[in-house]
Amino acid sequence: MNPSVRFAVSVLVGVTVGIVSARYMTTEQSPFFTHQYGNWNNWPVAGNPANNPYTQAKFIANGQLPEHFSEVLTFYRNKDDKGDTLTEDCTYVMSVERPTARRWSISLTGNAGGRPQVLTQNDVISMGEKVTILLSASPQPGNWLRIFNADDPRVVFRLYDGDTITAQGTGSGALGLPTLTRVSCS
Amino acid sequence: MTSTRTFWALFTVLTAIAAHLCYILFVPPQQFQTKLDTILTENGINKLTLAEPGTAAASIAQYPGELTYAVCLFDLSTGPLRINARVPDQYWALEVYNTRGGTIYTLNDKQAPRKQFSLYLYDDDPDPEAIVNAANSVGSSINSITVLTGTETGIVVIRSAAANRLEAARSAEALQNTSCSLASS
Repeated sequence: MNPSVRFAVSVLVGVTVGIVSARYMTTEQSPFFTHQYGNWNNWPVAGNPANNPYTQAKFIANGQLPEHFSEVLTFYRNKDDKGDTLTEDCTYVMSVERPTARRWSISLTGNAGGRPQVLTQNDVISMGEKVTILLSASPQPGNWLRIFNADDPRVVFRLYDGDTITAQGTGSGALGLPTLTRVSCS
Repeated sequence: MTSTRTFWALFTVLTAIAAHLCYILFVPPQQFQTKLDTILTENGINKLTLAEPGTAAASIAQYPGELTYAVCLFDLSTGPLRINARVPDQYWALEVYNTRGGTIYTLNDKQAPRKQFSLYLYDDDPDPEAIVNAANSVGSSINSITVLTGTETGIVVIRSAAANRLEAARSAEALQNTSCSLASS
């Protein structure tokens, strides 16, 4: 092969691989720089001044300024407990022991219109310590988050007062992360 | 023949590494700077602005359904910045970031010294004692906090709970009584 053609092909392949790998490593699906708690993901050094450039890139590329992890711990997921991607064609039930955090919220992002659906500790109805929330396209009794024309639905679980929560332990059991089970599909 | 192949394989790998690092280190900061420039054009510098829907500052508001956001882009080249803050009786947090998105300082409602206090941002100074003296001369040290940013430019973000009408009303009242301006003004 002609050296100049080899040069062009090498540069093209190298630049493509470099950029694609960089973009992948700043996605929520990336196993690098994220902590996995079952199907929940967390960027453990978000907002840390000494954070790595990948965590920094993940947030600022979208114009976002993450809260320091001492303020809020944020967990993301786009899969149910079996590992299937969330879809508006299905109904899901999310269960969690009422978190001990000073403030917490569960939101659903990715709906048409962009504005997330949010339930905070003041919004949820529960008879005991267990909180159950239904995620579905159609109205549901009790706590309901609507999946509406969702392109890439994902659930966000936020625990405020991150310092206190972290001091109690950061295993998925200690954090008390919600389960998310598929109930039925249309 | 083998050495030629090895050379081009190595060249491709090194090109990939260079492109990867260049992308990570330069593209997101440039994208973020563009967002900051848009906010600057719309809101100006050293001025607190609510990140309401439809404004450039709204792009900072990551969780608009549960928090109210206010932002202040600052430039300390002409002097220190003063934030007169009012803290509501609910979750509230103030964070100072550099222009690359790194946190410089954070304070929440439980850590704030008073319901109303002043926070002064200073760029690095060769004489830290002078900075402390200057801050103390402005007012009571109990009601004021001094932060050395280590950078001339950055952004202050105030987040306040707003998941329901009561929280939103408390946040609005607190933010109406919060200001961000040069300490000399």
